[in-house]
This record gives sequence, structure tokens and C-alpha cells, in this order.
Amino acid sequence: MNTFIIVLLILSNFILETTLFPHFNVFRILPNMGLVIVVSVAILRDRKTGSIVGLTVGLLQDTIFSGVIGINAFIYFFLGYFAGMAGSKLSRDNVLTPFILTLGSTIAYHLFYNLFMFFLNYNIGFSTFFKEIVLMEMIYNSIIAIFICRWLSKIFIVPTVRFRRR
Amino acid sequence: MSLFKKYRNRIIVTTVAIILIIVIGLTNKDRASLSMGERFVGNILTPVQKVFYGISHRTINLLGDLKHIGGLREENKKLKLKVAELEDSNRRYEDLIGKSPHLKEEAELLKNTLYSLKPANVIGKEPGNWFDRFIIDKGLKDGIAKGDTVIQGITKDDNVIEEGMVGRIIEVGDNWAKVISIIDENNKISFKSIRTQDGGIISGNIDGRLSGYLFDAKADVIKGDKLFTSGLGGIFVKDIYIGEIVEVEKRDEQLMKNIIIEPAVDFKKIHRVFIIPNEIVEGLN
Repeated sequence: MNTFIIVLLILSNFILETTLFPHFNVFRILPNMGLVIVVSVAILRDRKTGSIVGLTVGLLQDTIFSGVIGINAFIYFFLGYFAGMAGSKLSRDNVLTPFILTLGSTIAYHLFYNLFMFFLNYNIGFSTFFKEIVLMEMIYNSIIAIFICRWLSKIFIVPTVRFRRR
Repeated sequence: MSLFKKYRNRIIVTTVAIILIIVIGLTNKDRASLSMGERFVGNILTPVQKVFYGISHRTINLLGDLKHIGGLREENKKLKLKVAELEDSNRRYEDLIGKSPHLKEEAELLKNTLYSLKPANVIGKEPGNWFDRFIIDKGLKDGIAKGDTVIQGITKDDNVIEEGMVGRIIEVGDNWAKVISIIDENNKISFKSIRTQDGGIISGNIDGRLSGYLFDAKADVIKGDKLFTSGLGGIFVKDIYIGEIVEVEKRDEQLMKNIIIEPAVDFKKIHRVFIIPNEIVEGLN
């Protein structure tokens, strides 16, 4: 059941993100919904689900839009993995958990993206990009993540007590 | 075997990472066509996106209309007057055209032979803030090829409708294609100023404008100059309107003049575009 919800979530997010959301940009900057979904699912579930969701979201985005396949998949995969690891140690009910993890993930996403772009011989000035876009996007993503996380936690049946050793 | 069991998770993660890096390396090359998988995913998803993009575009237009609902009655009155006026003048023009059918045909022929334009709809934009790419609903089946130029009809100040540069096609699927727009940071376009024929190179900027430099530091360019593509390098078609200069800056330590250009096309509201196939352009030159 949860798997079905997650697949539906990924697909509908992708379609809405590429068609409807570009109309709702604020100061020309768009929040990265894919990243928010990956981090939120990873926090609520575990690192395994997080990394699989990250891989799927990234691959979908790469296949349809970018010429190079695998960059987004790579970054989302690791973001999902680490967010899942951090999420299992932090309180899931705390509002600050998704906020801070999304904040960190957004910075990590752009740093890694820039690193890949550097090795693939694209030339983009990172300092101006960081000042003009990343700072705003960090705040957007984090605020959206709070709501998405709260909404998803109602949908998922999260096992709170476990007797088995992990 | 116990080693594998102990580090199972880490081994899987590392394997996936290595595979992804290999895929990045393989797909980074300039590919001639899409792979099977990409084509399959694209063929399934793009029709759905087409529907949603249409719906969202209409919704946004509707919201925009609602804002102006107060002034509608006033506007309606004015427009009715205008229509009557225009109909009158239209009748006179039709009379004029009817008198000289061969003139009309010639004009239409000229219009049609220059480029044969193929219309297409935008059906999705790349998420995120790094690149400005989008996909359209025409592909291999409609005779679209990689490298074709994408334009949009725009109205200039003096009510003349011209081709405005949008971008070019980088990859083609069966019924969809990826377009890279001119405001993308990695697109470099050679231009010329229509007033003085001075040439230079521009590329995209992060804030959605274009910036570039002129080959000649002494070139005479001023704010408001209109820029067209020059066709140097053979990637973009010649003589297509790019935009207007909004800023000229000359730094003493640099040997070039830098300019900032406002593109003619509004990339945030792009919906319908035209494609110029490459073989026709080659035939023209």
C-alpha cells in the first residue's frame, strides 16, 4: 500500500512540477519539489526507501529533460540515503527535523551539481548563482518541506515501536 | 560471504553510485539519438504532460482575466467602437486586394518560401533553477531533427510581427523533443546589431537575461539597439530577432565592450513555438 502511494506521489509530483508549478515562481525562483519529496519520504521511512525514491525521482528528471543521464539520480540517491540515516536518529514529529535536513540537502544538491558540471566542462559562476538563487531556494524548500512532511506523516502508517534489532 | 552480509548496505550503495557515474560518463558525449529506454519513458509521459500544461496555462490566463473584471464593461464599449472602425477599413483593404490578386499571391509566396514553419506546443519545463530547457509535442514523426531552430512569433514596438529566437533542439524522441533556450548559460550565440552591423557573442545569464561582448571595442552600440542572429558558426539560423540592448558597459582594463540584452521572447510564459527545419535553411544558403 505504501509502495503504491510513493509511486503515485513521485509520478504526480513530476507531472505537476514540470507543468503547473513553473507558473507559481516567486522572484523567478522555483522550489525544488523533487528534493523535498525525497527528503520527506526518507525522514518518515528509512534510508532504503529514501535512496530508492531518490534514484527514481532523479532518473525520471534526467531522462526527460537533461542531456546527461545520472547526475540528478546520483545526487538524490545519496540525499535520500543520508536523510534516511539522519531521520531515524532524530525525532520525526519535530518541525525542525525536515526544515534543517532540507536546508542542508539543498546546499548539498547545488554543491554536487556544480561539481558535476565542473567536471563535465560547463562553465557557470557559482558565487553569483549561490547568492541569487540558492539562498532563496533553501528557504522555500525548507518551508515547503515542513508542510509536505506533516501531510505525508498522516498518510504513511509509521511504525513507532520496534522490538526487532535493526 | 559473512563479509558481504555485514556490509551489504554499503556494497549496494557503492555499486549504485559507480553505475550512475559510468552512466553519466557514457551519456555526456554528444549523442546522435536517444536510447530505447529514454524514448519509451518519454513517449509515455509526454502526452500526460501535454494535457496538464494546457490546463495550467488556461487556469493562469483565467486568473489573470479575473483580475481585470472591473474594467471589462468600459473596455467592451471601447472595443466595439474599434471593431466598427476596423471593419470599415478592412472592407476598403479587401477591395484594394481584390483589385490586384497577383500582388497578393506574390506576397504570400514570399512569406511562405522563406522558411516553412512547423507549429508545436510546449508541454513541460525542467524543474529546478539550473537550466532553461523545455519539451515540445513534436518529434521524429513530424520531421523534426536535432539542431533545428525554435522560434516564436513576437510583436515589436511598431506592430510588426517577427520571428523571435527561442532556442534550438538538442534531442528528439518519437513525438517529443527537448529544446535548449537561448537564456541557458551554456548556449552561445553570435549576433549582429541591425543598426551598425557590428558583431559579437552573447550567452545566457542566471537572471534570465543575456549578456555578451562585441568583437570590436570601438563599435558603436547604444542602449535600445536591436540584435539579430548573424548565422556565424552555422548553428543558429541567420537574421532572427534576439532582443534589445538594455545596458552597455565599457571597462578600461578589458579590451571588449560588454552588453546586457533583454530577450524579445518571454520565457516564463512560453506556450506555442515554431520550428525551422535545418535542411530548408541549408537550401536557402
